[in-house]
Amino acid sequence: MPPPPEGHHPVEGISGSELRRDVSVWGSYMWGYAAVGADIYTALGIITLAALGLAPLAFLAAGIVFALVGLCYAELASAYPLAGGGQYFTLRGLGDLSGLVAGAALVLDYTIDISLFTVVAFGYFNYFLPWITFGRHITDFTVTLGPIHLAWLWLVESVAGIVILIWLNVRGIKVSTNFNEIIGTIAIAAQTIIVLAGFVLVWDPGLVAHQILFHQPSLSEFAFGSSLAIIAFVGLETISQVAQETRRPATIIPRTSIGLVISVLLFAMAFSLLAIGMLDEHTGKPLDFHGHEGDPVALIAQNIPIIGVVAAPLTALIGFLIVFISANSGVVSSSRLSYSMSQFDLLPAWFSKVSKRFATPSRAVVVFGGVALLQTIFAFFTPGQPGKSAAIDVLADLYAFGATTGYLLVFISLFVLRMRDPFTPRPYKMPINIRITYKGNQVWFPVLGFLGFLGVLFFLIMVLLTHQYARIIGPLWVIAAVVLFILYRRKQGLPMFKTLPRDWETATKKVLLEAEEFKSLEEYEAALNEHRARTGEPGTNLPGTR
Amino acid sequence: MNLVLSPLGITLAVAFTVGLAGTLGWMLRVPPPAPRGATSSVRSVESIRKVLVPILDLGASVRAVELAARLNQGHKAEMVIVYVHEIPLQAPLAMPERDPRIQRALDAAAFIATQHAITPRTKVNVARQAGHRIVEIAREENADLIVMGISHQNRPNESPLGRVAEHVVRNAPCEVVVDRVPRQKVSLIPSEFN
Repeated sequence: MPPPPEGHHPVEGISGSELRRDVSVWGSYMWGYAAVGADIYTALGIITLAALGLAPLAFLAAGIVFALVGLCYAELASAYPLAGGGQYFTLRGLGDLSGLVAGAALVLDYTIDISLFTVVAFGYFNYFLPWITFGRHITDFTVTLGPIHLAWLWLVESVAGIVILIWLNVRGIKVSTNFNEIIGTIAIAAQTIIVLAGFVLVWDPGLVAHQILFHQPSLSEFAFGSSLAIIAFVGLETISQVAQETRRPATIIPRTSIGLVISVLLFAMAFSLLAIGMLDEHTGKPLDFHGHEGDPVALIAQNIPIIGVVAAPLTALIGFLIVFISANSGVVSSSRLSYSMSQFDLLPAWFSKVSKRFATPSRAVVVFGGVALLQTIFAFFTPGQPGKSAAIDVLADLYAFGATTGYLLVFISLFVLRMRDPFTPRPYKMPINIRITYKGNQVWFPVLGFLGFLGVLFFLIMVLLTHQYARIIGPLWVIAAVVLFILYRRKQGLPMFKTLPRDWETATKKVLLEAEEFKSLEEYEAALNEHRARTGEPGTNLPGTR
Repeated sequence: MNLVLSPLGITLAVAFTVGLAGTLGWMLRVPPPAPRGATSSVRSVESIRKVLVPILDLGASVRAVELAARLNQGHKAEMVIVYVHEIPLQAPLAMPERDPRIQRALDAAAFIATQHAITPRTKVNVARQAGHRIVEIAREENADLIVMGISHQNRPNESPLGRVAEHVVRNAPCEVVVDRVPRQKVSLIPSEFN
């Protein structure tokens, strides 16, 4: 193995920082829920407007792919319990350049996460606006500038929200796991009550049948709606991001990932069925989400008899909190991911500089928070339908690109890592596998993983065909990241398109030992010893471990 | 206020509750962590890939096949069953022709193994000293474990394990499990052919 570049600390750099393992099974689930569970508060309105009577089908199609992505992440995060998520898996499986592309796509997603979720959080906040402004709604605080319908107060609120998030994260005040757990638990309880009350008291199967039969979208509308529906499930990454802080990650992460997949699917299907099967209390017509893209769940709660008077403001409050926490997790994740990428020499070391005063990656926080600010302003100034702000539509349009690109590379990494690194124990494996022999090692090819890959590829193609902003901005962002990567590597005298050697074996052992995953550690050591005894290959770095 | 009470809606509400509660309940029931010593012990047993069961007669040594098969359950280790036919010094060292005793012992042993979904490899060997030959076979086969059954009877001046097992325990290159069948169980094990 060639020596590592000067100043490069292989094991320390790649086995992550000394983070305290303090996140429990409920804490791990809640980190995921704060990210994915908040999506339904954001996505329900725009997807129902796009897929019309077939909205539940759009949610189901995206949900099946999401379930496969969830199983893939459960396998990889339990096998490689390090912060970094999809970018780390791709780096290990496919090398530096692919790791950069996956990382760039996911960072783009996180920045849009900050923008979109801050905008939606204030959408829920604005539910209370008439109470503060004596009956005036957010639509009363708009100006029309030619084709642009600018909701200026909402823009000001969103910009202020993002600035607050940047300030909080630069100072190192992050949402603690306990706070996350409390808000998340309240949100789950509130959502469950709304779903149960909705189904029992107002849900009309006849109306659902009517909507499916007579309110169908065109093929292109459905393709757009279902590709948009993937945003209802983005955020599973967060469980992987906190893998390094999770107790017994190899045991807990598969459970929380599968639990999250099933519970989020249940909520998504339930809310989408409610959305097309309820009448508006005032108009007597099916629920109309026009003008309620920012607070769709509150609209549902408001139209449930008996509990609606209390449930609607309560839902708006919980929606505001959980969606704003989700936006905060975007700031945390984008800065953490870019910090991790710079440690792997994928981004300039400038991003990994830690503030001396606050001990936070302040530069990364400010840069990606700034990107989120620009995206928000761009979204608010984009022309939309007459009389309607296009902000949420534009940001949702962009959101799906990063997720699908990142997930696609993670699936490819799953295949490659199964082949090249059969030594690392996988406490959880995606079900349904075919046994094959690859370079003398017995490996299992994941059939469900392949189906998931095809599903994500389909959605990526749909995004590129139907999302007018994502198909331009997404690839441009990735190209910009590759150019930055090339310039940085050139300046550092590092190979531009070759993967740098790294001592994964020592790093893996260190991580498993720290996580007290002794079973996995012993299985790993035994597998490596067996391979060495069989092949006679000396040294510490076998194929798949370097 | 329009209430719509539909049976399907109530069914969906119940299904949703059961699904969510079941999922969260399953997720929260995390198995207890295994201490390091325990996992290495489990691992060392799981790493057994080849088990040798020597057969000397139809009695306790065939019973050892059942024991070995149960030890091996779930691990799918290879099982080699060897009938070692001990020939006294005064007789020529040659394979006995169509000895029904050997065939029956091997058939019984193979049947027991197949009942546990294990397909054993069987063979017959002749030796002056059965213990020596068993140790040699263990070396040749690169066995990880020898499981042998012995009856309780001892000849005078023999160790408690008996001559053959004593030699195997002392000289085997791998792990050895000796099952000494107690007096009460001897009557339950067939040892002679009628």
